[in-house]
Amino acid sequence: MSKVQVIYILLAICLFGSLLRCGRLFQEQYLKRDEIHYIEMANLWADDGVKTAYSFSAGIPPVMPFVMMVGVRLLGVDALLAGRVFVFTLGFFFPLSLYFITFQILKDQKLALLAALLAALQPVYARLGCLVLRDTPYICFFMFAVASAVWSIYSKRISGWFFFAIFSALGALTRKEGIELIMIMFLWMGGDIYLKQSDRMARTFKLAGIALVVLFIYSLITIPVFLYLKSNGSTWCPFPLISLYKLLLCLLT
Amino acid sequence: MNFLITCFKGIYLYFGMIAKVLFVVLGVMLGFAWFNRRRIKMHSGVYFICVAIGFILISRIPILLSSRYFALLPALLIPFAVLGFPFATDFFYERLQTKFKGVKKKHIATVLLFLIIGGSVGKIYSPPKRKDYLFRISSVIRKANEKQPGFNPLIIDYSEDIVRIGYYSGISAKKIRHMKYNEFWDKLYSLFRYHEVIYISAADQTTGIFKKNQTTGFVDPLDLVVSKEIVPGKIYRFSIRRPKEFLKKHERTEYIINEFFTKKYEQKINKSPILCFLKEQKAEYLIGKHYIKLPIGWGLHCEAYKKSRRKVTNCRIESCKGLPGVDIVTDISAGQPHLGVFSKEFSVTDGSYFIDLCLEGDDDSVGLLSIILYGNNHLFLKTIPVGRFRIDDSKETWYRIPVSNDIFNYKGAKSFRLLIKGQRGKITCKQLKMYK
Repeated sequence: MSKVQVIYILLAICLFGSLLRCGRLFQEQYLKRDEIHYIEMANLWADDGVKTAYSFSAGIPPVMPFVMMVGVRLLGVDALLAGRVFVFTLGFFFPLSLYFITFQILKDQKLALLAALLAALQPVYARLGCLVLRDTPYICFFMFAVASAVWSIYSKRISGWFFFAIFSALGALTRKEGIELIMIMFLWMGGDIYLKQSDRMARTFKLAGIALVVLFIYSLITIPVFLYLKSNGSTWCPFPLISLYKLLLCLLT
Repeated sequence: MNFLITCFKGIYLYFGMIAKVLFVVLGVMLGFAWFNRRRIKMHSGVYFICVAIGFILISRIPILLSSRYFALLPALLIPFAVLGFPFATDFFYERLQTKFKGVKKKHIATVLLFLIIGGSVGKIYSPPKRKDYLFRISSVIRKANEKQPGFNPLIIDYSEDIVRIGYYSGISAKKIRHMKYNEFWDKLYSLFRYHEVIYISAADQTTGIFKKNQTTGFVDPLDLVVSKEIVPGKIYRFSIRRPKEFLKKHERTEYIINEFFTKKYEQKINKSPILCFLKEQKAEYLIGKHYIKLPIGWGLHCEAYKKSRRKVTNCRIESCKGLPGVDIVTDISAGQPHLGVFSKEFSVTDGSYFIDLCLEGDDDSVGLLSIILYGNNHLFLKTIPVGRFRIDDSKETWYRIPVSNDIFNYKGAKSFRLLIKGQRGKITCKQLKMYK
């Protein structure tokens, strides 16, 4: 199968998934509670600023309301429409992440395409995929982070970890659980060092270096957002499980 | 469109379950394949996915146990399901080859794929049967009451889905299951504080909450009230507006109805700013808008509401004073728990206003003061947060929050209320003053 053919098939699969979600949208009669929440926040953000938006709901991670606010303020569209465009766009690309993961593991184009098809068809994801909720963006960022890590591990290129850090940070900006990607990375690193007997010391240094780089990029993206939002009343934190930031702030001040 | 949905539902009915089973089969096949190391080469990349799945699975156990859906896990399992696909094809091929000699592997793969696609598409387009039914109920109730502002019905049902239906549709909904006779009425009694009408979905006699046989300790309350008319699956309406319909038979029923359905109780509601507030806020669903604008109005079932309710019980307002310069009558009574200093019609003059709060509470407690604007007929317009306060000193301390005049000039605003919500810790508002 040529590369062009694969690209066409992948596009067709992505389009098919999007059409399924569009169809599902007709069955959704009411807005969900969280959708209402984000719409309200985005409108408040657009009208009265970030402080007012976060006084409405202090713990919401910024991606959804921010993207919707940008739609309202800059493009002049309805917050709901802006949110739907965002969610559908990410949902469109979601099957690609499964394609990359499966291709890395099996090195088989057909099975990788089958994985992409299953991702487009995955019922729960398709049903959530038409709603302006954080699930779709988070799952998409999560899967792309996993795909980046898997690609990096198989190809032995460190650049994949940069993407992993970026997608992890985006995941954390979407949901509080985003930190779990960093924890998964640490768990895998610990297991990998433990399981592989040869060159353990060199491997430990290499993985520790990767972990530091990932943490650095992750923090570089999330900390400025966190500090900005914190000064505006948000309680969202990119490290919700451990109060590293509190420790860091104590040390800095 | 309806035809298409019906077709999809048909597909789901036939193939939905098969698809689920197939996913499980694929997973089992993968297990065997992995065990035999036939195709998957153990690699750090595979370990990474295993760690991801294991971590997600363990961290989501509470969610999985609470029977909530969880999308991330199936998404992660897809590559593994795919890995199992060739093994499933091999498995069926080996077994079918002996019976049907013309069968080829690609035929089996196509059938498997077709079943997965059909099942998945069917699943995407088909809500569960009970959920569908409950959706219809909520839309009927919504339509029936949309021209009655200030009217807040509740649906009670035995199924798990009812909470989610309420969550989706904006109608207050509550799940009651296996509740004893007295408990049920106590529950109903408490619910009538907040709902003028309670719709009870009469349960199926075999699967429902309310079993007919009273000797078991579970009873059908509808059976007690309207025994001969009860038809399983239909909706019955408990109302405080038409009490006579239900004034039959049982003493306790009569007691409750008399207690709640009299004018005495209505006066109680009107006297209680909390109940008035809830009643009006939650009625926002029914006044022709697509969604309510205030989080507190989502209903008793709603987590946001529960949270805010839990928080505000930590916030007591003990006294407040009239607000010179603005024609406001406050009706908060001393010792009143909950939120709010309520106002009536106002005429705003130029300039800014100040709200002084005398607060006491635990250190580091946080509260939020908002102004809720209403239009004609007490139509809710907007909630505007005006200031957050933090208790720095556990002793009584005055906090001043300035309020811009622009807030009161909001288009169509006729009246407003002040809303104090405790967001963290415990706060007591000893006094509240608003002045120009």
